[in-house]
Amino acid sequence: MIIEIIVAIFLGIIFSMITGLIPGIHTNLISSFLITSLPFFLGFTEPFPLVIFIVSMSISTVFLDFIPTTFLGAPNEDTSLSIQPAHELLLSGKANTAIFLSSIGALIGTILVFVVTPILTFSLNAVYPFFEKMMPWVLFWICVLLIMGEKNTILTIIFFTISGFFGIASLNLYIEQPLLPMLTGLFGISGLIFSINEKSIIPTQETKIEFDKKDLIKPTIASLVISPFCAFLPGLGGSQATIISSKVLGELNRKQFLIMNGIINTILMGLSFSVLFIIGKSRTGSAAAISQITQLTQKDIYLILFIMLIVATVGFFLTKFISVKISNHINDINYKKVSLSVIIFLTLLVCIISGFQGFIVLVVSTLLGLTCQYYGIRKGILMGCLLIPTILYYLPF
Amino acid sequence: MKTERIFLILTLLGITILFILTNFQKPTAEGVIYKVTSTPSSTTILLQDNPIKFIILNEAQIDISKNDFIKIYGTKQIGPNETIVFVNSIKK
Repeated sequence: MIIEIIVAIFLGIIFSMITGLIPGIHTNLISSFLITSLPFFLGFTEPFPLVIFIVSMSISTVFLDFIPTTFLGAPNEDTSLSIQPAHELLLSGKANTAIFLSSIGALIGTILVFVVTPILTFSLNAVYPFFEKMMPWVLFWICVLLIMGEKNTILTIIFFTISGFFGIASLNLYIEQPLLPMLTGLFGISGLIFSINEKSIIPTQETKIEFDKKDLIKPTIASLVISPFCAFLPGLGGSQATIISSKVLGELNRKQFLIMNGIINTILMGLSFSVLFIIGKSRTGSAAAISQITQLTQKDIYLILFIMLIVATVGFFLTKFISVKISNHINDINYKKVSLSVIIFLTLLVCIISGFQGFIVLVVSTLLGLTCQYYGIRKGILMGCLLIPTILYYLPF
Repeated sequence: MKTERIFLILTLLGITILFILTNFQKPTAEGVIYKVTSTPSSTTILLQDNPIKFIILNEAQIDISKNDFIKIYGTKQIGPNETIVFVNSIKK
């Protein structure tokens, strides 16, 4: 069994290089394949190594996801808000710093999962029914927090509402992986087109990391307070948790924002396994896959937490290594050509995975992202495309 | 007309097209329910004369029972051993 677990960890990390580095290839895709082929895999091994494979792949992917987000501007659901600060650091020659900060955040997040899991074990069963009923109102106040403090409140509300309508329409198309064209257009391709128009140039990337330990304090405290709620409340993802934390603690600088996004993403992924054990709810695709494989015991959870720590350490150094390798060569290529290639690649990927309707969603989301940018509205407001449909879904009428 | 206004009009037009497209959605599957089984984390539905397993994640209460005719919208996952559909929505 120990050898099988070690092999599962190793394979999980290998597969995370596909799911993390190639935009659009999500861990859910691999997990779904595993579930549909479960009888085949159970002919070779017991269920627990398969669980460990999913855990390793998911945790390592959280780290590696920061690389395409920073270099290509290709986000997923959880990294969509970090794309702007990461891209700004890339354009100032500090891509390695951006990736390091996100990764160090993710590493801290893994450690915080150890702190939060025992608290959730004792309290979650008691508080969950209350919070589940309150869900739409909690989300409503997140929307208020999101809009509050913006310079042009009326335009912000207009864009938030438009993004909500966009989200409702897109999610009702039932295309494969709807978030891929939605978020790629809103935060990825629109940003790339804008950069091309602005004639941005990627400078030589510094290998020296700019990091002040004091930047860790604020994001760690905020994530520790907010993430446990997001870990069990349906409809609250990494981006929403990042919004609440940044609003609660006041203005965060770019570096603190990246650290916080890293912390929150690993906490949410890590805690989803604990939450599955405690209340039987699956908050992430990976936890959902595990719920289809086996029933977790307390012993399993402790082992999973321990393995998460090992995988996170490997993921941290692997991400750092790949980031340096890419940044050493990024100057050799023309940024405009790279951006255009990425846009073509992402468009093809959307067409293959989500089909023609996915392509239309991509065009509309790109237009919406560009319009938001031309009007000078902060793009985080476009998370209304997920928040508004979620509120409507959980309303009791 | 200013660039941003043209983009805004195109966006609104695009969203309208998306709404129109939602009205032409075909269900992933439809049929009479043969069996419904629930666990805390998921509900599994089997339809009569259909080998596909339909899985609903995290839905605490679903108002369906055996012999109901339903339309299912969801994401199909085809594997070598079986095909499953993760259900997004069910209409009676």
